[in-house]
Amino acid sequence: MAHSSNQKPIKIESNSFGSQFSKVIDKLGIIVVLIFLLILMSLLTDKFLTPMNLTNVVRQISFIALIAIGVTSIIITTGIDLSSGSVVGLTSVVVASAAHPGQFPLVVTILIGLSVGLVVGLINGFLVAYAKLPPFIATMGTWTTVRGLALLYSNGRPVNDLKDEFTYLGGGRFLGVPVPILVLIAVAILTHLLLTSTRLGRHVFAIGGNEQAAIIGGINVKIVKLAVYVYASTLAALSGLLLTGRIASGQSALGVGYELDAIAAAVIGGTSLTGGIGSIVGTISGALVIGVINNGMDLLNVNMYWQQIAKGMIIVIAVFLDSQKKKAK
Amino acid sequence: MKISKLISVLLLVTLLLAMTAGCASTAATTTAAATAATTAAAAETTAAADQKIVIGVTMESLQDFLSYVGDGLNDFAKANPNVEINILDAKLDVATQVKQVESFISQGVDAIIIKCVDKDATAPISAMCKDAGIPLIAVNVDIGSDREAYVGSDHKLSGVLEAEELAKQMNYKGNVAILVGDPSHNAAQTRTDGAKEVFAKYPDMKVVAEQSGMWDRAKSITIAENWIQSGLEINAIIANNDEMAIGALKAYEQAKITNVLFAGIDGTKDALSYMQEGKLALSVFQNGYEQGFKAAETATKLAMGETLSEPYVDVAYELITPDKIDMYLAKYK
Amino acid sequence: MRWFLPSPHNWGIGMNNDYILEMEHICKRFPGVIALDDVQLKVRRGTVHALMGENGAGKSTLMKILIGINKMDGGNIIFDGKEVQIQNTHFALKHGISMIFQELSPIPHMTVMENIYVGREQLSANRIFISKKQMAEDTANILKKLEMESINPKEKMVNLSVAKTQMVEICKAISYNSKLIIMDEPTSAISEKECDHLFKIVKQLTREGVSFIFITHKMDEVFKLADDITVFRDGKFICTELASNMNHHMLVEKMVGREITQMFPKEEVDIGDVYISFKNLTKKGLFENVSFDVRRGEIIGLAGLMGAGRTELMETIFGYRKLDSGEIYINNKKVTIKGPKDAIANKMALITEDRKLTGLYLPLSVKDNMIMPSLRRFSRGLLLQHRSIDKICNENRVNFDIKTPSINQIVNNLSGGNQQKVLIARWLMTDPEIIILDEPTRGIDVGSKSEIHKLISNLAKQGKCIIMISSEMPEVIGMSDQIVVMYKGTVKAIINRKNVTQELILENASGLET
Repeated sequence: MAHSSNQKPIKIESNSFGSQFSKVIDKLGIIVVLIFLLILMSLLTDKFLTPMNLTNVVRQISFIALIAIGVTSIIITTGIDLSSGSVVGLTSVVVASAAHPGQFPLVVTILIGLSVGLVVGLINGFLVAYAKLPPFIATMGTWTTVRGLALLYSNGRPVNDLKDEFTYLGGGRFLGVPVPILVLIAVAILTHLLLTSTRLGRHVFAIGGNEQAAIIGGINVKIVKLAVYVYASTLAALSGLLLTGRIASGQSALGVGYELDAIAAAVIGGTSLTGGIGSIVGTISGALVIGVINNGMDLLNVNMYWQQIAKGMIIVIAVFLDSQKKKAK
Repeated sequence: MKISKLISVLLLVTLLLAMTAGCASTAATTTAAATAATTAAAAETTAAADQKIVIGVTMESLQDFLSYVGDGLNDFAKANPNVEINILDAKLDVATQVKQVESFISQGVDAIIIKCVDKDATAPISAMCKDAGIPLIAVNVDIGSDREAYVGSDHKLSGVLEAEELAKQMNYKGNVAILVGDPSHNAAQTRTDGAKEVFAKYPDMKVVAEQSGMWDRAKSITIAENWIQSGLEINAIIANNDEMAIGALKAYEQAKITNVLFAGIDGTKDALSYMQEGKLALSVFQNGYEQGFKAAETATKLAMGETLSEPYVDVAYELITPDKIDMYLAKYK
Repeated sequence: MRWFLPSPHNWGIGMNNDYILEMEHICKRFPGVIALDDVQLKVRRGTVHALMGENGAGKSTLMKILIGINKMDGGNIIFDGKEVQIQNTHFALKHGISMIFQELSPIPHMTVMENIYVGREQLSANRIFISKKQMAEDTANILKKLEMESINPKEKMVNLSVAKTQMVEICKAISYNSKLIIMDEPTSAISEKECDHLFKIVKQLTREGVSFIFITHKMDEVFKLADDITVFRDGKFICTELASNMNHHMLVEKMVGREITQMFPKEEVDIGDVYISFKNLTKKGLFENVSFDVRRGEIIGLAGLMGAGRTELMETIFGYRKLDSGEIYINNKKVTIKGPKDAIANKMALITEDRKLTGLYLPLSVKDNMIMPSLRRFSRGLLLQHRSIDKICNENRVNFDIKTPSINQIVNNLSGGNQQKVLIARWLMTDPEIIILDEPTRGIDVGSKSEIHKLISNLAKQGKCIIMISSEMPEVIGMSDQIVVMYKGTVKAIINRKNVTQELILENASGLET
């Protein structure tokens, strides 16, 4: 047996506020890192802690965060999705070509955009769950194929002349809050509930924790995996759709490299690449950590080369601190 | 077993067909030559005209601006039925580009046109072409002296043109922020250098910020938003391309700040419509179509053994200001 | 409590013939081996049935068939009065058969209740969300039943001890309404107190009509817990008896049951002086105070059950693991062994148990495999002397009778026996004096087995010291001059060749006082 006799006393129901609080801190170490960054940035520049700027930061990360939410679900099953950035690109050109004024009702335009993700997700899910390809290979295949399709579809050119109601989705505000932020909040809450409180969600964790035990428990592993890949790609399409509205142009090159940013957000947020561990709160925090670093350095007018170096270092340090804390526990 | 057999049979059939076709066309040429009974020189030109010229093109990518270069290349081939153009996309990868040139050489193309991924990594390509005796033509970006010809425009000039016009519109005073493309690209470096040289000439002008928008609209929105938040006083944003300029102007539009000027390069269709709405102050037109067309023309000339008087074929940059906009809109019709 | 069976109508009647499980004429063949040869197993309702036999008797194979991991080649299974075709584990679970594996495999980062109800999560009234409250309540109820209230249903599995993990597995079995629970060596990793608790729970559950199949190597546990005992030997059914009609000597006899054949060509050789001695070797948690001597020309058989610490002891002696305390003397001189390098320098060789995992370089040739530890001897400057390497390898091939077309053959293509010979040849090229062999004939066909025995015998004749770990009783008895029997990390007995019987070894290995 791997774990011999670690006879640790088991904490039994302790509901005092203090212990609950420390439990939360334990669980979501990255939030501590995030709070630290927020304080640091506020000290470094008084431009940081303004409602306007914070709204900006959240809107800036919302596109990556949407993708990261889907990728988190996949990583929990021990999978990976490299195709999400390409899905953003393909969705962008497809949805833009269906978003010209007077062409379709808005709902139809949106459905067309989301269906791009649905189809790519079905392909990914089929390759992983049924054809049993390693997720890295399967989604690497769709990554380049889908980007190629985006180029082919648009002939490499931007698709412009989009109707206002569509660009509203990316750039508009509802009750003073940017629409992408509202969408992000809705999707985050929905996914959080899905993962923590539904059978499907718990099966996602079970598969990642011990696939054999899941099979013995009668879980239809293939269907669950398929569902997770479809969900993730659809969220990537949603992100691509909103981003297209934001920039008011359909572009085949949109979202290049987003897959890595999304995976980074998930991993910084405590999702384990070996599966079975991960949370939406963590992932959103991870995305915010990246967003705050980017925003803060722009506010401080840091040299563009140094920005990349600093960003990489801060990410590694954040994850290192988080892992140390977990070890200490 | 069955499948591999089938494939070999198919291959054999294709080969046979190709051979008969080749024979037929040679036969046709000879009869034509015989009946015409023209002079030897004339016969030679006929042969040359009948002979298909194959040009291999390897492009850094086929997106956005470069797709117009592709159009120019293709249109030349359409206008000249004896020229066949084979365009490959190196997808921003140096190694892919080298492989593509290798396969062009082994196919025995008559000329190669290259839009390099990295201009400092083209030495092996030049050497391969030289060894194979195939003329190499650089398009859009020059690759040094080891090529037969360069068809393009002077990037630095585009930055200078852009900055000069912007400075003029600002009455030669104020703060400028620069949105740089991918800083590892030559075009981004030279355009930025050109612009900075211009601003340095005017004592009342200052470059207050410089960030890389990676040629990308979405990324540039974020950078411009953060600039607005940072409280920097910025009177104009000059971008290495239109996409970044549009991203920046969208951020300012959203923040309802109106007294800032935006300048881009490329003169894309989208940029022109923003200029029509009065949001984009100026752009610089790089005639991609013309570059492509002239590159194909130059390559054909070299393939037929002609010599060029000048290895640099210039396709001029043109300044686009709102008063000239109709002329450029017409190009997209 | 709806997960417990209503009390069966006929418990407590004493001997009854109400069988929960009847397996008859079960056959199972693996390539080259008949694992089960027309065996039967009949388990009475509400009893604990011990399934006994030596390693390789076929117990695990039968259980894997019952739980749906392996498919049987022939035979029929009647469970709870109905003939069943068990297709997979899920089917078995759903019909009331569950198994608690020796290697527990929980989902580590999920809670106790989620592990129990995996795949069957209870929904709340809205039919969308999981009712965590309900699950926690039900789990708590089962835990209470098992007197394991100290386990919090919301605790994550990683935080539980092995014993508690095992209890959770039992909870899971109960939550499935299991009528038959198979326990494979459930006490191998838990303390005595936890063990008593487990037995108490098992007894309690049998009173409620649940039946158990219990696999163990520990004799005392059998007589403490079991109602019936079935014995298998070499894939054959031997007998089923009431436990009360048996004692452990009878049981051991049934398990061993055969005459020792003279297939072991042990030659009598002159035993020399003590060459290596071990004094009070201790490694916490693995073995304690182990002392014995090996003389020149002597073969020491190291007997014991799985988990007795034999392999770990040998790995420590060879320097894979660090010794906590104790001394090793070679030729009356104290030596320190910090790593395998020191062991090799002291002329030791270790031929490991798992040839494929820790012994062979599978994709390399026979030649490469033989030569690897002796490369230094065959190089001049930076270059290898290929001619002399080929020469010595070919000599080895002939001497050890390795059946391979050429020394350049990939070693993975050889049979198990020939692979073992390659390994022995490899280590003999380093010219060792002390040769440790861990299960040298496991998984090797009978013919090659006796060849390897002959080889070992020859080495002893040359005056080498041999330590041989073996779980095969006849091999130990046939080959060894002295037999060191280990039990739970201690040396229980050192038995001379002249006095040895299988029963004696088995009793000592099971920790019985004699």
